[in-house]
Amino acid sequence: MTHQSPTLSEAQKRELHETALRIVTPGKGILAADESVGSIAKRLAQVGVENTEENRRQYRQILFSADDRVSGCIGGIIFFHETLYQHSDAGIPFVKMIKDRGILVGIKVDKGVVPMAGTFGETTTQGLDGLSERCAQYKKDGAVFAKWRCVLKVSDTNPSKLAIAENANVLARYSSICQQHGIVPIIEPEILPDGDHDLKRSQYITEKVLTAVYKAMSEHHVYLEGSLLKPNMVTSGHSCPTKYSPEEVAMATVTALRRTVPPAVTGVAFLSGGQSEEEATVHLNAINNCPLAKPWILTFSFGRALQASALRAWRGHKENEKVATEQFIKKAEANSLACQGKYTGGDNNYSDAGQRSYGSCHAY
Amino acid sequence: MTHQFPSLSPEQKKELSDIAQRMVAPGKGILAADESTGTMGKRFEKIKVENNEENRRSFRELLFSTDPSISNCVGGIILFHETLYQKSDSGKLFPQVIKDKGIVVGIKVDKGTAGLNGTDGETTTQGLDGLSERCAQYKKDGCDFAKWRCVLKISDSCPTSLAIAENANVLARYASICQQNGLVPIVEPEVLPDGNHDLLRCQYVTEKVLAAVYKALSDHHVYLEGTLLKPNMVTAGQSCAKKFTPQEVAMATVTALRRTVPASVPGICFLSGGQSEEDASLNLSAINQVPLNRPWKLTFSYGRALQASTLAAWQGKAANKAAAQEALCCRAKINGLAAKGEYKASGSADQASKQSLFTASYVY
Repeated sequence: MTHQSPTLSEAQKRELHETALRIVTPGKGILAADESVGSIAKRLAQVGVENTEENRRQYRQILFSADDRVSGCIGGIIFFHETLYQHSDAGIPFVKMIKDRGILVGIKVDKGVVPMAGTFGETTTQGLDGLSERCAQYKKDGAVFAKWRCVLKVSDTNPSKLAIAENANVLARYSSICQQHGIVPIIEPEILPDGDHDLKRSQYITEKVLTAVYKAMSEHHVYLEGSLLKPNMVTSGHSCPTKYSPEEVAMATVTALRRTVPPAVTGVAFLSGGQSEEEATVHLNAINNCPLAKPWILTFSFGRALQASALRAWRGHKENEKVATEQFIKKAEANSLACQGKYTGGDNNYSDAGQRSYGSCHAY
Repeated sequence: MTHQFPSLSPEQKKELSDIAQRMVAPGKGILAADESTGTMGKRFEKIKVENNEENRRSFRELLFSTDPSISNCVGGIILFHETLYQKSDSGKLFPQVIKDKGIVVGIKVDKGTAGLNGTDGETTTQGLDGLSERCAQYKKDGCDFAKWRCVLKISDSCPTSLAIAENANVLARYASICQQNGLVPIVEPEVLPDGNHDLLRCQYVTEKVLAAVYKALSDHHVYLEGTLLKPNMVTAGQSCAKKFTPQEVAMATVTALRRTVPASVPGICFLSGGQSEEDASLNLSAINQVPLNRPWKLTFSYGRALQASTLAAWQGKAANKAAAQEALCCRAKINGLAAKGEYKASGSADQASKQSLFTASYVY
């Protein structure tokens, strides 16, 4: 660790940093439309639609035909490989439709989770083989950022030291390779909300995971200013009996990030991880209103939380397309407000989120 | 790394956080007056003063009985063990004299460096034995913070991963023990300026060292909000042919810190490391003007850079006391301004303040 071998030139660094800034321009976030064929099957099944290539194309078309209103709300869209090469009904490549709206194109590059022997159901993520060549090709085909998802679980035994270290390392390798090709890596170390653990436990584990991630980034010489983080918000487990307010979630989340994410990281775009559309938006809003100093942009990278209503409105029927697209636009606009701390809509359970007091739940 | 065992209660955390905030209140920094007996001898040699206990007491009495307005610029003073139990001319114990001015009292707790076998002159720092009991006693005797200095050097083969890991680990152990006893740990991983390396190399090494330090602090469950960092500024080596401006030093320094120091660390108090008084002030002011988000306070923890003019004015003579105190107040005010980014070179800095205070391989 004595001499620095050149990794990126000044020009390469500048390109990566500027791309990252554009994706998370204030008021904008990311639409995660990169569900694999297997994942999208579950979504389509819920609304009675057969999982065919044509249906997948039709569905993504609904999202990508959104009008100019989304240009101020969406900075980037993450694609799945198949989608990157599909076209609209009129024969326009999806990539072109997106770029014409001033939205940046991203690509999911991991190849899914694989189990690690000797652990209690823990995984790492594969996809490093030939990644350099794939990134070069994706850059030619219009992508300027990428995404790679690692998964950790909370249980009595998990996450183990091995799972934390292995996933941090693979995220760092992926990031390093992306940057060599002018592609901004979105780093996603998702800690699943499954379980009955409370907010404190989730915060503790998130802090340990993120510290390991950034140590690995340092070891692999990743240029932080040209990267983005996609973490879970800090929430209690799905089956935890205690319910927490948006302010408590926000305070725990921001505290964890302040303890672990270097200020040089350009932006943090949260995953929604099974939260409802409204819940995710209200939490994001509370996070942006948290009174602690936050040196990075805090925005969204939502899949389900941006698409659920659109999917339900569509149900596979062509005549519902416009209504479905409208649903998506509404969610995009809501989250655009939330990532600026200005969201005031919502049902009774979560209204007036911006006006609540943070005093009593200051997490030391 | 699954379950959190309680390390500090909310009350303990609040106490530590409050102390740290007081020390780095806006416009304030730290006076490092913790020179060991041997080191004080070197200072006295320059002004032909005998190194005995009375002279050491006399000089510290001069520093601590300065006009109370010095507390506008000094938030904390670090003492050496001997000094903690010495008294002013009026018979009051020094910690009390300092506290009466509203300044926080700190204590150097390390016991100097020790060689690492199998390296090219690299070291770790000792002092962990019985540290908990010593900290408890120091707290009773009026201290609220501690300091521990580790040293790394740059050469063709250094710093090695062993030196980086070992020093980071010992700093984390020290920090953990301090916090258990209500003392805020100042964490000092000094990268020496000896050598002919350029600014970029120093930045690279500083980033690697600090990344390791914060990983170790996380591993040892240290409460970051109740700590302070005392790093070197990022500068070229003392014998580097190329000279760099305060703005270049500032940009390299802030960039390195943004990539490694979590926002939850309340303050970063730079060591002066052999820079002249004037350079140390100009560089600190430039650091506070860097147009990048700086979520921590950026201030000073100066020894030589606050005392050089004072010593020169004193010359060991009682008749010079007032003039010497005036010199100290002057430097303190200047650094107070620098900590707010408001100090500009006036062109009227005197000879003493421009003199480099560099001593090769500086050891306390």
